[in-house]
Amino acid sequence: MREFREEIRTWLSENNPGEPPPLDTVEMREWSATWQRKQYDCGWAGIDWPTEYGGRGLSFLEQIIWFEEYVQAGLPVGHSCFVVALAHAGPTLIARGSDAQKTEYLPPILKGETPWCQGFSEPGSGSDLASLSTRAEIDGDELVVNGQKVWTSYAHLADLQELLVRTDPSAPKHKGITWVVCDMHAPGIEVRPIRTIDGGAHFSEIFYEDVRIPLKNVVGNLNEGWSVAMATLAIERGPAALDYQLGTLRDIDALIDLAKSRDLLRNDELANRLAAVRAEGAALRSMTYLSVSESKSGDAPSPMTTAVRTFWGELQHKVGRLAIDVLGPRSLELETWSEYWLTQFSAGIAGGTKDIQKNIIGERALGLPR
Amino acid sequence: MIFVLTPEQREVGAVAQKFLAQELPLPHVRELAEAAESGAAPLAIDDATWSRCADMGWFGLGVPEALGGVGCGPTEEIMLFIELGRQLAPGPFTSTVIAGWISAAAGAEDLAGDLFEGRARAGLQVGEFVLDAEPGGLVVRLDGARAEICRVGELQTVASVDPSVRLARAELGAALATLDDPLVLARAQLLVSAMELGIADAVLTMSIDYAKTRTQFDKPIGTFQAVKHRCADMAMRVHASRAQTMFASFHVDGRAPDAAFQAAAAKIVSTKAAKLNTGDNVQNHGAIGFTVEHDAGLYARRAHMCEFMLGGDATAGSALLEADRHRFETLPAPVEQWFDAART
Repeated sequence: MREFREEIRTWLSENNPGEPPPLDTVEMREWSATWQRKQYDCGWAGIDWPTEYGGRGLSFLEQIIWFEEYVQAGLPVGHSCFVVALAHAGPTLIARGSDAQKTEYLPPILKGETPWCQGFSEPGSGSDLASLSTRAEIDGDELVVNGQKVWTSYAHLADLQELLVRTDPSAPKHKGITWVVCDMHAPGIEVRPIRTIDGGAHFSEIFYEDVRIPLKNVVGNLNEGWSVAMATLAIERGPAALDYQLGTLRDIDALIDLAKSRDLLRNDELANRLAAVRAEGAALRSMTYLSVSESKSGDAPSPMTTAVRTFWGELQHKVGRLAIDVLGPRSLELETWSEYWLTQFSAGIAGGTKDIQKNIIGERALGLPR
Repeated sequence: MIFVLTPEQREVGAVAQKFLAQELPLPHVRELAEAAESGAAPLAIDDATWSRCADMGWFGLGVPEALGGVGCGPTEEIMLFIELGRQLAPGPFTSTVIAGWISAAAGAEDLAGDLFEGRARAGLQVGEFVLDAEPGGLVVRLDGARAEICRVGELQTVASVDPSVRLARAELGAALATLDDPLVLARAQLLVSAMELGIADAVLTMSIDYAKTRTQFDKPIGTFQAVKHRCADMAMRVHASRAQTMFASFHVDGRAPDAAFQAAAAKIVSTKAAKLNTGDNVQNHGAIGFTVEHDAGLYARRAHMCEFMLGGDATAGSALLEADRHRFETLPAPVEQWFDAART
């Protein structure tokens, strides 16, 4: 393991792209695609993905070590139009896709050829995701989709989408949903950008008018998409986001450096809060290891995996607020840390609000009544 | 369960849980505390029970066999201390175990033997006080990388927030035995973290049980989000404390470069878990939780004692802030072993 770590460290130091990626634009897609392709060519893409689909076929331990070294090398995490492909869609397909679907979709993901986006939330279906109403009717060997999705990151850069549609409106709400792969360039799709409070331009709403999707794109079975979606969300809320989580630890380190450079550790209140977030950052990493050790035991994923996501979200909130308190009035200027603070408002919302996640912890992990 | 625990490590916890449930159930802990408070007994645990704890090897659990101990490591100690916290076991367990490390490492064989075999106990210096010290007895003092055992001189008892902990101001004599080891504080922090984890977990269970059975407005109160979310917060704190305490113990066991950092992090998240969970547990129970006959208050009081042990958040926080960054240099051996086992 030590040699593996050294090998990664050496490779990253020699191949670090250096310049940060441009944000939210087609240039970002090009930057990320080039960087992903380079990782693929050198054997660093899909470290724990099966070899027949272009992965390395190693364990999640090697994948973790890659994430740790990647973050330690200072490389950008989280904001990429390949996150959904690599961290949600790919692992969902590995778990639930057919052989034909894996062959078609997985290698291009690892090669950086196909950015994906997520089509789960709708204007009327947020925390109550299973109430979604985007319709898909079967017509021959195709689904015909009509409806609207929203809060979709990088829809304007994506080629494919993991899309939840209602295929049986007469069934109970969890029973009539289908998880399907949608071509974002299909006729009838309109993507409208939504700006976010931190200045971001990666959000969109998506309108579907008679969009035709081949039935072979259905992952799992028709009307069984809820369980596939739960697998996706378990991955999204679980260790797949480890690189992004470790990015929060790096942010904490940078914030402590900033406080030291401004001689602010003499302020007991700030010092206590900074020490607390650093301790919770360490615990976040430990919790992720614990989740991984449970999830890879072959047991059903522990509902406490959700707790890791929620704990992380609350930590991000605290770090965002601490950045403002470390900067003081200097934070009035719109710059890296003030934007960072604004970005952290999404931490209790993305991937399911912390409110719904605490219901899940209460009901599924603790057995409290609904 | 978590990372890699050997069957033997689990057994330490199971044996402790069974013994404490039989010999030191909470009603008995209350009686002992009352006896100690009224002056009928010097400490809130009697010699016979203490001696039986010694017979199970608890006081030399983490000391090498060559030095007279049981030969286990920090992880087994943690399994024991989680149960001591969960059952609110009264008595100077933490400081007696630390005194065992010091005397064994310092070659004070007679002293070590007395501690391991339950003939001597050691109290703990906390700020201007000593906890569970007796006149003429022993006290452990930790200062940076130095740990020492001192003889207690004159002792003046003061009222304690936790009735099962004897609190006093005392004069301390010169050190009888000294251990200089940068990791002694880290290892001690793990003991207290484990007790805090046990406390935080016990009150979580208490709150869940109550939220399922107590009805208001014709529903169990656990259906209400205000209560449900508070329980979820408690569970997250327990999860964080457990994961970090175990992870840190693997680091301390292997003397990893960031062992002190990881143990300090464990102390901070565990203190927070015990402190906030015991308070939330009182709230979840409403007025009954505020009464003296309910156990919720006992847990809050014990958590309060743990909070300030070993310099509290201030000492742990300094260790964390001294570091230049989070380090991902190594994974503890048990984590790697686990992955190896999962691969095959």
